[in-house]
Amino acid sequence: MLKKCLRYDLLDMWHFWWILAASTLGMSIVCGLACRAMVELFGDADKVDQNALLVLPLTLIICICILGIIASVTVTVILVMVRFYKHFFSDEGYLTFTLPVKRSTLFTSKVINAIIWYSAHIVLLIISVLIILAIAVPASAWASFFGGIVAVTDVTFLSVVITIIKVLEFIILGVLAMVLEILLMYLCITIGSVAVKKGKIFVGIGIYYGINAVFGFVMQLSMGVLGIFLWDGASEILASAPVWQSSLADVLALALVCVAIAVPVCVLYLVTVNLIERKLNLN
Amino acid sequence: MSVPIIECIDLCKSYNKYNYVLKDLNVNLPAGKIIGLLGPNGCGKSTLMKLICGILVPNSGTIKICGEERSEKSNALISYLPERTYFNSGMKVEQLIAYFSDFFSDFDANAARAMLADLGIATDVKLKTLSKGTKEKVQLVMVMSRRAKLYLLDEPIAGVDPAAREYILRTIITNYNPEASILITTHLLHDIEPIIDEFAFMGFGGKILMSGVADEVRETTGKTLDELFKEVFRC
Repeated sequence: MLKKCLRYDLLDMWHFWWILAASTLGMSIVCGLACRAMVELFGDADKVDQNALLVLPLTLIICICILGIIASVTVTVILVMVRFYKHFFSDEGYLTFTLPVKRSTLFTSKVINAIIWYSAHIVLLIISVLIILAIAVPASAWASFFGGIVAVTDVTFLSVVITIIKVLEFIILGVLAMVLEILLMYLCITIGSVAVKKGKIFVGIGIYYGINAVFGFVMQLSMGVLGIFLWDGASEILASAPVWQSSLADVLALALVCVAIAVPVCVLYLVTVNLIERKLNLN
Repeated sequence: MSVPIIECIDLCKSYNKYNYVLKDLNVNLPAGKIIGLLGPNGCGKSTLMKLICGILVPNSGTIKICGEERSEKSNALISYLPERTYFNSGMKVEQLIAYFSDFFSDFDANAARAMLADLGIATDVKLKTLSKGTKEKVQLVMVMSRRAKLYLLDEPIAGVDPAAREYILRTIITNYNPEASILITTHLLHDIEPIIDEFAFMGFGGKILMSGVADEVRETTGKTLDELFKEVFRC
């Protein structure tokens, strides 16, 4: 049943997302062309005076395109959240919750759906940046860039292994952070829908900002305390330790952060599923 | 004695601290009958249906479907038609048929297409382009195309024209599985009276004020259910 739920959730989002993706890629191409025009027209000091009138329009085009590409991230988030709200807490919920599917399965499908679309948008952003760079940057500049990378790297087997482990940990950390954000939004929407009869969305948004404010304060306090009491001692020890020991310390620290984020992820998931199973009254 | 299709034991439901819509409701609905659940606005008819479907959570009490406590497995036995449109209007009608076929193993897609053709509704159109009445017809067709054990129809004929109303009532009878039960709520008592086997008049708080076999009550009292309803719920 999870596969079926996920298939329909993905199809539902795709109807809107492909338009957003096409627009974002279109803006990337326009931005890249505008940047390339800036380079061609103003890269040479002699041409600056001749093409001065084009500065403003080209700059505007570049700014609008970049803002549009950044805004596309918000649009994806809004699309995912609106589909969650409509599918669970609006009239569509009358069909959703009369399917012969466990509510935990329905919710898990929504979480996986959000992860897939958020990840797709990250890939879209990377492609957008690459398109802009590919169009805007002249070929000669790429050759000197890659040549510089090869000159800088000084590899050993251990450093490669540790780098790979760190990259994997950063990816896991990134995914966990994404899932935490998704679950927090879903929880806030659920609390808003379960707790109040009117203004559910506003209540949900208010709870989201409230939790973020509290969480941010606790994080800053914790980092401050850790910094005051642990940083000086730790940095002295690491400075005198062999390279492999300090690298191992980095790896372990990242692993601890991953575990620290995994705990609230599990808590948020269980709390939200419990609310949907026991407290949801559609009316 | 056969297991009742629905068993409600001391069922209570309130929307706030002070007023109970359903208070200590105990009712058994038999299998293989068409039952009319009738009562004034706000007496708890729709609330009872939503509790049976699992859309609402009771404050206390138990609901059993075919002898087992209500769970998501019960949804496979129940075909529910709410009083509002509940599908994703971005879908086409054919996509909705595929959706129901995917999730409900008892859904008959060919029967659904045949009924839609009878009603002159194309399957390649988006649901959001249909009128309110047509959407309600589509919804009813989806519900009646399932071979469920229990059909819960909340105001199935309220928003449709008289000709479609007659078609819908005929559809209910002809698609009716003798082993299944149908629970209908409506204010259009005159239209459904010919098709119901049993009835229950529900008062405020979920109290069952009168119930019985429709034919027997008509013979005994010499009155139609419509007349009896007006007597029982006289303002």
